[in-house]
Amino acid sequence: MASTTETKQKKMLILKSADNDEFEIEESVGVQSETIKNLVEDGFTFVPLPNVYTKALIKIIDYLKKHANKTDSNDEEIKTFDKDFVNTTFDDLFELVSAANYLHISCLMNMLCQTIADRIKDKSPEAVRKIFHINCDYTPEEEAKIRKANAQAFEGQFDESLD
Amino acid sequence: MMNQDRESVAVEGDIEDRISVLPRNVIDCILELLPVKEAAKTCTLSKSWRYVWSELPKMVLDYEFCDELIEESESNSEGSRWLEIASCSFKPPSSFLGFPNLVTLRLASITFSESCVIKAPLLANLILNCCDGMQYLNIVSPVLKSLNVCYRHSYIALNCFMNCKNLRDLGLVFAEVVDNPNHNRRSTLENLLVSLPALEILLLDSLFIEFLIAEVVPSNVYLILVKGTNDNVEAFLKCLKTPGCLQLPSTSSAPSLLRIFIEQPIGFDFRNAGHKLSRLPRASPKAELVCDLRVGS
Repeated sequence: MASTTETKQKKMLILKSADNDEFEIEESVGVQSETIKNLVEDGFTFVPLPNVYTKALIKIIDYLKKHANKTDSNDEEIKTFDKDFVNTTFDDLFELVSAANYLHISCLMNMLCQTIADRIKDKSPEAVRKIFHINCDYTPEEEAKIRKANAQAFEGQFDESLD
Repeated sequence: MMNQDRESVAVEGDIEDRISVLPRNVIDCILELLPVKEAAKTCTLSKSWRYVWSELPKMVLDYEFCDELIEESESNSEGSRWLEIASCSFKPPSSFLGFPNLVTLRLASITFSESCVIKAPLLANLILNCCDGMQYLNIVSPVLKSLNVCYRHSYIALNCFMNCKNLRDLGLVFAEVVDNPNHNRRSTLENLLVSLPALEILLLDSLFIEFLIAEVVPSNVYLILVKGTNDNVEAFLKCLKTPGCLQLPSTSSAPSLLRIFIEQPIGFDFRNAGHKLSRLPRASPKAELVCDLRVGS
């Protein structure tokens, strides 16, 4: 909890996660999210986020704090932070990208989508299915037919790994 | 190997498919960041992924893709004689060499926003359907045989087709003609028609009915089709009733003309007017006027 004097100096917001944990952050940090910004503009200081779980919210608050203090001198530091931020499992990335989408944080959303895109690129359809938890409902014949119709896309070697 | 994979996916099946968990705009955003070939591969993931990639709001056919397309068109004469591009904006790189083997090109719902030259030396058939910014388009196709342009609210600059001496079949439906500021609309189409000596079939929107009274129809034209539209039924009928309207193309200007086919404007009962029209005297004795009395579809 921030001290009373600090609260007076800086406007604070409380974010409440889907699992009912509350986080206090500075308004200037929070308004990087369009969703939060709109609520702040309407006079709200308590922001329930029913679609964002604590685990993702902690990471996102970290991201917002880091990016709120962006200056010319800490550019490298932020790049390193971003690199570590996305160095996680696919399931975490999906959780984060859903939250970033809900919160309308476009730079985070782009970074996460780019990471996911880079990591599924060159993967075999089987590997992508596992990553996205997709149940293949094609019969082998149907799949072969679709592959044949889009033969150009299936040239070359595939990466079978799931990381 | 494949079967094993299927089984292990089925075991994980209790976790919901990500396509139903991630919002569609997030899926779109991820796929848009993939090279188009990679995005296309997602069609084999499952039935619900079948068309996701093809419905992406934004798809960039990048250098790699274009290079391959061109390479293929150079090496494989069968594969790339026919090309259809739809629903995108079209900005080929300045290094784009055109389509050396393309015979048929169909562009549908394409937006051209900057000057665009497409060299297609073998192109015979061109269909432009609902394209925006056609005035930026310059298609260099000296052997073009068939040109069909269809759009309601667009303009076409016809200048690039002035040299298509082999054009046999011209259709302009719902399109207006971009004019040289010094000319009116009519003169641009007139100029085009007089520069097309091989033209045989002419399909015009009823906006252009007025051309039937001008002595511009090339001499080899044997069939004129006039397509009815809702928008200008009044003007269309007025024009048809103008004395002399269907007296042309006359024998001297269009000796080959056999038939003028007029389609009933949608939502308008053409029966009476059509009957009267077919009895109007015409200068071309061979030319038969046919009014399509089917209810417009």
